[in-house]
Amino acid sequence: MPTAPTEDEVLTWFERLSNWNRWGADDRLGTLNHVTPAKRVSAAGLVREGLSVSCSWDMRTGRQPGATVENQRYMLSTGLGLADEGRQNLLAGGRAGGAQEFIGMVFHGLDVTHLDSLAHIFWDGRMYGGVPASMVSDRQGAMVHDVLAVANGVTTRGVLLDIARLRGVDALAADDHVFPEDLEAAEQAAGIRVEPGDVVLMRTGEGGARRARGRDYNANKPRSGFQAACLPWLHERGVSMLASDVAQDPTPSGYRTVHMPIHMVGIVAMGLWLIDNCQLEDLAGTCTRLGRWEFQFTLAPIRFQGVTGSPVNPLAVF
Amino acid sequence: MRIETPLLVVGRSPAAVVVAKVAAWAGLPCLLAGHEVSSDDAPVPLDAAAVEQLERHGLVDVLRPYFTSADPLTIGGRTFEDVIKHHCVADLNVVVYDEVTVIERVAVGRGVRGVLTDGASRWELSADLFVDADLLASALSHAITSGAAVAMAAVEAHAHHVRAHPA
Repeated sequence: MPTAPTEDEVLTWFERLSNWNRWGADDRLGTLNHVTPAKRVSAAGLVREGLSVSCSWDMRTGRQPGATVENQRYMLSTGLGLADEGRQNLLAGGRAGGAQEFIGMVFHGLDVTHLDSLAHIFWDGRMYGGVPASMVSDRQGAMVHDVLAVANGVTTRGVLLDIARLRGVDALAADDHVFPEDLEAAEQAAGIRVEPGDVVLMRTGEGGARRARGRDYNANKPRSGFQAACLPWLHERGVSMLASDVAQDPTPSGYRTVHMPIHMVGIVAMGLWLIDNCQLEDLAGTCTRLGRWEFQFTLAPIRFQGVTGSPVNPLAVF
Repeated sequence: MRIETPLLVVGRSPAAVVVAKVAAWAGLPCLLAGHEVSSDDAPVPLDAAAVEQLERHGLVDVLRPYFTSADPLTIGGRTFEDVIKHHCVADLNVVVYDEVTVIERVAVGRGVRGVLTDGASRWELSADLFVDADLLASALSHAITSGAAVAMAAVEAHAHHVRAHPA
């Protein structure tokens, strides 16, 4: 079994794996700098079947154990009561109508499929690039490193590393963490190699349990994820974004101080963009059916100024 | 693998979520393990001492949309636990693990050692401080006051420990 790095070793990675100033002092893209125009053109060549697969969960209202707060949807106008007295003849002689709503959610957490911007995590009072954490304020939100950094979206090659399939299990046990050796074994099984600019999507199989339990699924429990040892591997390979069907870090991680190493070292030191809580069951099924684990990956966040991420619906296009 | 936490909170009383939230609010990271929200949502009027504790720790505003009466402040028991627990989930100072139990507990000073298990996996667990909320009051007002008091005592004990053992 691979050896987990000590906490002292992980702490040194804030320096050793740092991308601060690598792409300039005012860099806002972090590891997305690995996605070049040539990479986007190359990724477009992976579209052969004309098939698009969502990597997101549905968002629902109502009480869910794994949600930080309930998602909210308040209808402002609906199709009900159109014939009521006082509402007749309002629009187009009563022939037209419409619906609209307010929606709200806390997308960070363990429920909603979402993108973490580089303003999401601090370490020693700093964000990626050494930006002071105080640049995220109550009044203005994230004044630096908000999600607008990726307003033009992400289009590149995506690769699915299906560790549950590799292990031959429905889902990884909570204490079965994913090491670089597992990522390389999954590469070999898929006949691919992760290259600079790729989005790595890693499947633990936890999505199957979530799908089976539906609204009763509770993410507040120990779960598998990327062992901290993957960080140097992700750095060396030039991975642009990291996604999985959990929230990347295993819980518990085994570290007391840097207890979310992928979030803490990854976002703050490396500028690594994370997509938490993906739905990878459909993608895994498609990859297995087509016999290929690489595809064009696309993602476009909501352009909400000052926000530390975005709910997203990442797409894998074959 | 080993889990180390400054404060471990177990037990099903509403006091458990109060201890976790108040301790985290005061800067003490904690692990809330195995808590289950009660099914009883009958409205409960809160006494003055409970309201004072909620105000002191910034929780009245958190709960305000859920009060069923303003005078006295009244809230369903399940709703109270649900709301405070979700704020624990959102708090980076609190780790919430449901569907787990802590077994083979051995007291060590004010803390505990044991094993956390989800039925399939096991983790060695070490906590500097330990609170079993089942030993605290379960009636909501008393759970709030006793939970807040225990949490602040834990915060003080942790601060004392840090002062005595600087890194």
